[in-house]
Amino acid sequence: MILFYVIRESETLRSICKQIESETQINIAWLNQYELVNSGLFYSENINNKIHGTIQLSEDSKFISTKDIKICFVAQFPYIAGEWIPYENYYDKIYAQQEWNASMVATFLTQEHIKYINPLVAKFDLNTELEQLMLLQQFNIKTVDIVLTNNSDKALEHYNKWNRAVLFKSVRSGYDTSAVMEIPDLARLEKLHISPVIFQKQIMGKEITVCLLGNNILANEIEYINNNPVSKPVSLPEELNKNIIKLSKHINAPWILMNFLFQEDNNDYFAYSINIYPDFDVVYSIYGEPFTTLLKGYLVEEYNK
Amino acid sequence: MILLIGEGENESMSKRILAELQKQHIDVIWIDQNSLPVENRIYFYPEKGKVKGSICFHGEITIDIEDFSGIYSRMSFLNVDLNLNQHQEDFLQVERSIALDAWLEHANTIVVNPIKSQRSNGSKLYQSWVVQKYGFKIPQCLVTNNPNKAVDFYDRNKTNGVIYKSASGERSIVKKLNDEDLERFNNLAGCPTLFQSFVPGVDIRIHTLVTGEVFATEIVSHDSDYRYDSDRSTRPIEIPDKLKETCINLTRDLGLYLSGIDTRKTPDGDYYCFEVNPSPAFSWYEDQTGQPIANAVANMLINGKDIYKSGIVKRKY
Repeated sequence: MILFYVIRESETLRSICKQIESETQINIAWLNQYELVNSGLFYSENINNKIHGTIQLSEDSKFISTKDIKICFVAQFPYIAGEWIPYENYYDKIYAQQEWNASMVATFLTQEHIKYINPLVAKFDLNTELEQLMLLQQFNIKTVDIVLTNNSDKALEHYNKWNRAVLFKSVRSGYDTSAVMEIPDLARLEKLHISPVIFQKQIMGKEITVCLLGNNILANEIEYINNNPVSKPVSLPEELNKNIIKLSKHINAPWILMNFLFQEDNNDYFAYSINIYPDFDVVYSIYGEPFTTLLKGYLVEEYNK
Repeated sequence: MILLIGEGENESMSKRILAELQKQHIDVIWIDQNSLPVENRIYFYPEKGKVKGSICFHGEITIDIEDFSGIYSRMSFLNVDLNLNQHQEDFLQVERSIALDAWLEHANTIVVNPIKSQRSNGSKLYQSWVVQKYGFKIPQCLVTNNPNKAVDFYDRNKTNGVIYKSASGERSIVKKLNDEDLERFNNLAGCPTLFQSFVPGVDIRIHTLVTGEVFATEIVSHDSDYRYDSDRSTRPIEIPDKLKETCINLTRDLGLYLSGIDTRKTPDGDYYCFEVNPSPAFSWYEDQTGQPIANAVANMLINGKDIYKSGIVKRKY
């Protein structure tokens, strides 16, 4: 069985499931974590030193048994949000959120026979761009310059050092808070001490988004025409392709999405983010059918290994 | 220089380590987690695949993060009262915690304990699955939000009885399940719970340092959770060498430098393991037994760089 692990519905992904099922006879299961928390039933039990579990999303849906799963495709970042929990009290929500997370960890991380794409806990969690850029540097991939600080003097020092071309953003990745630092923002630095911020040297270049699946790489240049993103396929240097594949194997994450800025003059690619839990719908919006074809082929190939 | 990060002004573990280090005239900085980073200034950046930077403490002293030879961190969620609304405070709490974790996770010395290595304790059933691979016995466990499964587990384990507690690392009081509790099982749907077959015997808390020091404390209690039993009795005990070795191997392989392993010895002589605590509150056991745990942790921190370089503990990434 191939399990598609999602937190919300996706028509396109559902249609891929149907195609795989009809074309290959592989059993497909769909686990929507939001539905599970709201209306589902599950259990996990240790029997003879192994953990066995089943999940049922609603009374009339079929049981998903962990022992039947061979491939688990994690199609979106697999979080459980506190607001999903049907309790009124804030602290009850937080407590239940922890219990649900612990339950899912026990149910899935103990299944050594399942190949996860990607593992629910990858070797690098990459919570912040600080960790992301360190990882990229370890694989000889050039990165943009950043500092993470709550020190206003240091922030100002870099603002000047980088010729006043600076972006600032939240420490954690996944929050799209990036903004260009303007003169009025300098006055706000006096409040920087209450929480650190990431400052990034702003460099110009073409925006390149790279998606890796197994050993396959799709790279698209994103242009904004009348504020609408327009995506077209491009090729990356062979050396960069190799480094991306090496990195993905090191962190045991066969599916990743990365962002680069490409400077044509000196043929340099500067990475500024790596996402090990890409959102299927986002990836589909960039790459379209070439990605779905790749995904179907990859999942079936992995299943048949 | 050694850095100790305490969980608030009155937290005793880091204070005891501080006293031990001061006795030996070791350079040390102790800070309350809630003042870091608000009253201190952090500055980190990635360079050649490593984290570099410095911390300025209270505007007085700036230390290059490379210069810390050992770090003890007993941090929970940073709780800083800045008179912000709940949404703003929640957002900033996570921002501050993640910023510090990013450094502590990649620091160039030992951190007692690395954040990601503590994660197995976030799911008791998951951790029990890891622990059984080291030869410990583990009780029958069920995590569920399904009332029928919980009733079935209760019926199957009625002979010895069943206890219930949080499935995660959240603190909860361990209680014995009884027939009256079954009426509340419909509440399970919104919040899964861990049920465990009761194991008779004597509790033994084993504080383990990866450097080889092992401190075992026996606790005799007639309550299902000895922490809340005022009639409990404690004493330091010796445990078999093989069990010591198991504790050291388990601690090391979980990526920890220090652990508090909760075990129970049955009348048949079997050792069951319930939990490996990655941030053990060892001061209470020191008070009961006089075991020099803080001293051992202090010595481990003093030799932090060498221990780190030896690669004895593999970070969980």
